[in-house]
Amino acid sequence: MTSFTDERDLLAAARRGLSPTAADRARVLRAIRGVIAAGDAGSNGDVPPGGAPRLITRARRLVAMGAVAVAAAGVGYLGGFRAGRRQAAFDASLSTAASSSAERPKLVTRSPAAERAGIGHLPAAPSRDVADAPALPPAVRRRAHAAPVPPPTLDETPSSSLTVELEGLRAVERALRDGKPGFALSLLRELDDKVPKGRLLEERLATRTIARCAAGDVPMGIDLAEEFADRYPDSVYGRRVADACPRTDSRRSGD
Amino acid sequence: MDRVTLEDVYAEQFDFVWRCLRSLGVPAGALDDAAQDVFVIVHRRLQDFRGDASLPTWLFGIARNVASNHRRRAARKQAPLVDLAEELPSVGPGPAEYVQDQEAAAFVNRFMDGLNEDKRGLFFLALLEGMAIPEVAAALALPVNTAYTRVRRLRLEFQQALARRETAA
Repeated sequence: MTSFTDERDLLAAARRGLSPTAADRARVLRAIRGVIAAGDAGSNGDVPPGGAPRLITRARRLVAMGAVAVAAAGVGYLGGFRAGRRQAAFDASLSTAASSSAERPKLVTRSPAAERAGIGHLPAAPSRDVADAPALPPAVRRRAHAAPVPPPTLDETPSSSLTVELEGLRAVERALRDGKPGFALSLLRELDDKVPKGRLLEERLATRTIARCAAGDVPMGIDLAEEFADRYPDSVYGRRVADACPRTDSRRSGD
Repeated sequence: MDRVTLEDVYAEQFDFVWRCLRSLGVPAGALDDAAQDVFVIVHRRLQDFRGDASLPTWLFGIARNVASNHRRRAARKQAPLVDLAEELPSVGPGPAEYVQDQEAAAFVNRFMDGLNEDKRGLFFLALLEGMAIPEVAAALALPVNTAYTRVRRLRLEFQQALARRETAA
């Protein structure tokens, strides 16, 4: 056991011991960017005045949309009584179709780069350790200048699928932390079924590779870490994947 | 005042927030989530930050609430979370220093485990982070003289714990 005679020395050492590593900084930064990107999707990216959570604004919009839809259906129903049941059904279907097409236009998606850019670029002179984090894409200008985009339906929102993805990946991380790579792999398969075309593909592949290596699911002669590095050469997960996957006699060895 | 951005806050204060969460008893397995929660709140509220308090003081208030939520959640779950060994190559101290720092951190954590929430905050801000007492008092909504007195007592308690440790060694 290390001996500390001076209280200040011990506190300074403890402070260093409690500090995050570069990997912690990079990992949390990516997660924050994901969450912020999810929050910005479906809105214009502004924080509402007073800092009210965006979810509330979106809930209000949904309630307003619902009210409009109910009113439109009511008008159609009353019209139906006047024109006869058969005509009414026709009118109602027309008005419902009209209202839903007016209120729920096709989802407008953003480019992958725009989706990923949750926060702007890092300061010109970032601290040493933050510099280890992957470079952020240039700040995405708010979409206020573009034509207003009506809110998409809840199930179709990019933010909801991204949230599912984030939650799924968190669960995968927990499974890995608990030393359950098999469970992590089944969670990843479940995530693939739920969100087949997600945005966090790099994260998925990284965790899948780590889980496979931890589970010993490595085909002979295949270096999974190398494959990952080939696909994502600048990945912040590269080191972690490489550490998790011991080097094999890979294709380069000639077998 | 120049407008502070999330990137500035992250670059300058992430370490502080992380230490704060660890010191306030957030389980190791929940640290990522807790730190993320803090900065998402910062993202939402940054435009409301007027600079009346210092940035660390403001962040401490957010981190304290987040830590409290995570501690409650962890207590409900009671699932053991094991740290994933995930370290980038060290650019800092060598193995001996690393072990020494971890031992010191473990000792301080054990000491803080025996403190109530108010004292934990006081210990973290005043002794571990070395923040000025008037600022600590503002962060914890204490009269300055009370903060001085409590910090003095806390330091004494800590010195006694340290002396016991050295005797045991």
